[in-house]
Amino acid sequence: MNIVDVKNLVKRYGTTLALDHFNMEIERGEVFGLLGPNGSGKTTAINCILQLLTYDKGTIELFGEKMSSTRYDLKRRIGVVPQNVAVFEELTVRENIDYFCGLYVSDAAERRACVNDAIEFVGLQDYAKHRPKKLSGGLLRRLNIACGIAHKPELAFFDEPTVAVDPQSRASILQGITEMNERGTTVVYTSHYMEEVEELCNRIMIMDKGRTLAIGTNAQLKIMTGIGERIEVDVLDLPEAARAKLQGLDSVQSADYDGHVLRITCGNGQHNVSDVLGILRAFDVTPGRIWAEPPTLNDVFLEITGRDLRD
Amino acid sequence: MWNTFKYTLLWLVRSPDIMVWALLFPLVLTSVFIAMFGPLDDMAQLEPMRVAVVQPDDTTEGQAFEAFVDTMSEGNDRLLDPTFVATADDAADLVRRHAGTDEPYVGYITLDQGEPQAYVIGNVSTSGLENLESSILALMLDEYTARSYLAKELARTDPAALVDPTVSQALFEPMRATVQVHVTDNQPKESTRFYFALLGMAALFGGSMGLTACRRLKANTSALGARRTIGATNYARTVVATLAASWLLSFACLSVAFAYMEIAGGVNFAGREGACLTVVAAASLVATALGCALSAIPRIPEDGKNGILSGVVCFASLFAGLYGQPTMELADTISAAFPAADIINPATQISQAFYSIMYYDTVGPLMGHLGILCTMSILLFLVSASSLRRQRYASI
Repeated sequence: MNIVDVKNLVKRYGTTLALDHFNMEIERGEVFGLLGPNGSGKTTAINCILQLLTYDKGTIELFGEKMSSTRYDLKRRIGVVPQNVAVFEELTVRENIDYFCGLYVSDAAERRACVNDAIEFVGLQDYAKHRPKKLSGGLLRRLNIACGIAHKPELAFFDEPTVAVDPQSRASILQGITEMNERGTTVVYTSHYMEEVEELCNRIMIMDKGRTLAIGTNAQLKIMTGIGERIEVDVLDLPEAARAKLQGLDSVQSADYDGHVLRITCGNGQHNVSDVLGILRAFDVTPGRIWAEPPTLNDVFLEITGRDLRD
Repeated sequence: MWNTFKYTLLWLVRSPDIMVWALLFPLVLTSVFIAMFGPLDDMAQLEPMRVAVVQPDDTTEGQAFEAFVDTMSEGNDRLLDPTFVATADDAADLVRRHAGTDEPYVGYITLDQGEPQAYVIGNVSTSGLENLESSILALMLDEYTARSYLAKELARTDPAALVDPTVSQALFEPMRATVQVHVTDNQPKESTRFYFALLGMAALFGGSMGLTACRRLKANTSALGARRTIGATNYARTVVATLAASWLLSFACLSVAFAYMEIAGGVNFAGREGACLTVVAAASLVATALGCALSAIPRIPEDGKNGILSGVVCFASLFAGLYGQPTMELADTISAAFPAADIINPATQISQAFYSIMYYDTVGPLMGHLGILCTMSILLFLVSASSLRRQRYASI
């Protein structure tokens, strides 16, 4: 059974089509990455699923049941960490977590245990009595997370939770999300940091202009786009014939030489580096530094969504 | 629901902006009023005059004069607070020693060759109250002189008349040419209207609580609102708990202002504190509803709504007569020409509700004002209902 099942979701803002027959299926236990450029419809999709936004068409089912704004029984099983830090400036860390946990857990004793666990989970024990304005950006993000997951949800939405945090806090947050997932929470994660998604997510959806462009595991996406490794070789003098020969290889998409560095972009080849070095040897070219990088999710993302700047 | 109520109360109490307007501002303004109107009220409230009286001789005239002084010093509405001394020098010394103190003497009176004479101190205070007291003292002695002259003349020309008890009673009893009738339960003070208008204004400033609380409720006005809206607590309960907390704090702040006025400012609420707190409760309700209604106005930035609230409060207070004599006259003129203007003005209704507690011996007028305030609250809540109950938006 899919824990999230969105079918043919259409959402318009006036004349702008924000979601264009958008589909999303997430299985229990997944860490699902939702990627897309700014304005691609990620947050709109999440807000529709959470019933904050009305939509024009489509169906949304959570835990196998139709979701609506008054399905408090379903909402009780969901946790949300919004993109913007949303906490009460006037309440302490503990009070904030207690308040938001109280929206899901009414029993005071149970809630107290949840709040303690959440504080420990995000490592805010030393700051429990602090007000948010006394916290650094990283600690504030951690508080934002604690407020969203204190009630131990089965399904948690994280909307860019690591924006503007230091590497240590980011590592801690990612570690926490991994632990949550290991304890059984299904995670929907949006971020602009590709390496985070690559590290964290079992399955990734890339969307743009309100539509799903690609979906699959990290490896599947790379295969899907046909992107292979990138190779750079320092060479002092490269004959044009050698460059043309390299360009002619089946697995090479482009081969450029600027007089010092040869840059080759490969497709899905098995022996790209040895093929390149073989041709250089054949033309008596002595290579200097050789550097090869496997394709990243960022390459896949740019390949799929294009390199044009977005608003 | 309790959790929401508790934490809403907590964050509202800890919001400096809100507490400044809802609590500190009324207290400061009350203090200013106390400083301004205290001397004015003292002038209007005439205390028995402290006078030194030179002990008259044991003659018929002396005994009559002493009896006159005693009569003027008796009862609740006594005019004199006399201190008898042996000689005129002692009297002058006593007056001099108390000049400039908290309990000064107006002067001293003595009977000189059968004629009463008053020696009063000069005008030493800015209030000029001594002039008034000196005039009253002079009037009293004039009356005494006139009556004793009449008695002497009667004794000389028609001694038999003095045997008639009605004549002698008329001669020696204090003159009551007019009858004082109170048409209200309590005597009004000059400053009362200002204090009541201030309570109206202070109550409406409590609307900032409703406004802020609603802003943090709605997903389209704050990130906090969005987060709360997707929570698993029934949204209607969240709304009710939030508004109840806003109302309670508004009520508490206004009650503090009310208590401060009564205790520190000496404002007379006719000993009907229970009724006053009922008005405070209704006033807080209308303020909370006003804040809610303002929060429901679409397409206006949230800071703009705070500005609108301040504008509404200041404008409404103008017609409640808060800003001094000229505006009071303007308010009275408008009130006479357009009575409906009073009915739709919450500040005026709150102010008049306090008046009705103080001046009427029946609860009818009070109930009328409470009814209007409650109706206003219901209408304002209805205006904001569609906005408040909304959980889904076309855009946020």
